[in-house]
Amino acid sequence: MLLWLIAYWHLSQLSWDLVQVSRTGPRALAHYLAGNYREAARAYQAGLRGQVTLPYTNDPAGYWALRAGDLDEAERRARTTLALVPSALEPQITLAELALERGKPPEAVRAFAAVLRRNPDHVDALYLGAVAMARAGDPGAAIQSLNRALRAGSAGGRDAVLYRIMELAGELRERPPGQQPLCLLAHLHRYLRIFDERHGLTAMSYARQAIAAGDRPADAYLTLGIMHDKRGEYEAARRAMRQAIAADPRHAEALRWLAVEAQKEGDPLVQYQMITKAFEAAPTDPFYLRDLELILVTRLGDPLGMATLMQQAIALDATNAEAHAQLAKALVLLGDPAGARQHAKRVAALQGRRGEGP
Amino acid sequence: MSGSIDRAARRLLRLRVFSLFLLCVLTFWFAMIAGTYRASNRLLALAALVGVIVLALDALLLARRVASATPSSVSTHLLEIAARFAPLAVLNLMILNVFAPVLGFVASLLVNMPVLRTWLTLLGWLSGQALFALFVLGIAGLVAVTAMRLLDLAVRRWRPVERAVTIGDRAVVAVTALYCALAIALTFNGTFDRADATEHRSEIVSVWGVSGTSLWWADVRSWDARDGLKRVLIFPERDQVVHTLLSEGQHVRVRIRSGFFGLSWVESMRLDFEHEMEPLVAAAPSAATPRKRLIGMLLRDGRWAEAATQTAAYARYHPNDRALVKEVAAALREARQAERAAELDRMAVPVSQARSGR
Repeated sequence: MLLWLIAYWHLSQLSWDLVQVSRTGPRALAHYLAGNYREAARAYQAGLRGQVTLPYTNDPAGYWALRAGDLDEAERRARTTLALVPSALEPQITLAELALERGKPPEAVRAFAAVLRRNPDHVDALYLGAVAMARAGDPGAAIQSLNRALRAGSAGGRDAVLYRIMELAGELRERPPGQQPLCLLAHLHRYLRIFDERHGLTAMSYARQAIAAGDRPADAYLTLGIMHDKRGEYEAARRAMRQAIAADPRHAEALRWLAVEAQKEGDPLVQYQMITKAFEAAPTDPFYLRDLELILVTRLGDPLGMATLMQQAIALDATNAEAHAQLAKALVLLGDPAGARQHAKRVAALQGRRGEGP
Repeated sequence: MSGSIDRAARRLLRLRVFSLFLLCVLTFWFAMIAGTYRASNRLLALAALVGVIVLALDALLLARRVASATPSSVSTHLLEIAARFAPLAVLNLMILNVFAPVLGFVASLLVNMPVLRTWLTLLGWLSGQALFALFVLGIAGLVAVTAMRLLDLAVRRWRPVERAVTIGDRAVVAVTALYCALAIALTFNGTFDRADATEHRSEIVSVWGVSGTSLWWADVRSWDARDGLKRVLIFPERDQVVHTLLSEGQHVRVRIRSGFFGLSWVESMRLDFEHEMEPLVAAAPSAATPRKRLIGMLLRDGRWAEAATQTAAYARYHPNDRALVKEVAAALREARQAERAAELDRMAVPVSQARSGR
């Protein structure tokens, strides 16, 4: 009974993604539970390999061929699609992942960067790009990319994302203590926590070590704060976020998280101060505009304040479609339908240029 | 009538295991009630904690009685049936649990059958939960009964142990009876209380409790004694806060009821951000909601001049909302602030109407 309880205690915290029904699945799980993340990731990936069952028409990006381990077929499919639709993003991600698989991280970094120039919030490109950047020896850029992906609240669409991050974490952990990129490890374990709650404590431990070592303390405090928040320790989370801001007063994500914490408390002043500071720290980043609208317009009833901030955002980047959309909404509330129509037209033009539809 | 009640009570007391089981249920119920009608007195606020301790003592006593009980013929028969079928149920659950990943995998394939998919996922998950609960109960029961058997052995060998156990047994029953009496008093104090609640503003001095449980208290500054403290058991459903959101220095509003027996009890404790309204209005001058709340607060506190100034500022930012200006003017008139009310009345008159009146 006791043995069963111990086994259950360990296994019940795992997501189904880590319990793979395949020939190598049990081996992968055993490695994972033993903490051999590199071997576990390789075994999980091996479990996905096999015959390419989907024809090209159902896999134009070459993703399923890559997943099945047929690299040449994956490349052929991706290039065929790109020849037909040069602006397609998914085949470009497949080619970038292929470069990663073939041990060419700088090439992969360039390919992911090309995708992100077209769509800066493509979650798979951000995660896999972070892996490529870390392998290319740029942990700072990898952390930025991971933070940007994690804020989207998605673990990624391709199952390879989990295994590649797990493999990277396993490799970096095996480095001698002085050579470990502690802050990056904290972020990698923050990602792995999505699938296994126990990684939260590991992420916190690496974050504390990173703070002590002076390795990107603001990002480390942010990870520490988010892990506290996920564990329901909101006061500790607030403390950590405040320390992140003390380390870097323009850390937009830490400022946004403090606004999130203030919302849980019901503190309108801190919520307003933090979300406006987050906007001021990253005025051209459309991600913060929805939260800004929620607080300024919905909660505080301040369309005039929102319109003023959106005009500032547009003055800095006239192609910011989200800012135009928000300004249009604010102008409607302010009784200026003509101005709103003008900005709505601008949104349509910008989205058309990017190939997005309503 | 009293004779039959007496006979029933005697019969119940003869059922040593069942009567103690009933006492456990009663103690649990009263511990809950003590939390519901939480007294603000520093000692009485700990009634729920005392209830849990008494319940633990009762459970130990119950284990001892179970260990030394001679089952009746009916109980023996029932136990035999349970002993025959329990391993079968556990074995089935274990088999289900082993195949839970397969069930999960099958469920993930059933995209077009949401009902079956949900049931399969639930089956895999519940089998683990049920088995976990069964094993925990089994192990705890086994340990408790074994410990009590050992205690019985010691009782038979050494007389001082026998005396100590007998006294302990009676003391536990007496303490439980006293606790139940106290809880009944607290229950009547709360349920028969018809007085209106009074709201007090205070500040949290410390938050403390038993980690891993819902037993957490906030010590707040007393509103009726200088340097005194009031203790509030945190009741998340009623207070709309969890203990991890609270920290020293936060402002709170505590609603107190006087109590049927004069033992004041806490109806609710909410975080209070009213003191932030003025800085929020200063930070976001065009925001409607905080300024409206500030005007309401100023009127409530009889700060007429400030209320009129804030209303004038509101009218400048929101010229279409004349209803609020009229409302404030009416409130001022009622408070015999005719001059200020007239000033606001002039602001509330639409421009066209003012022209036609000339």
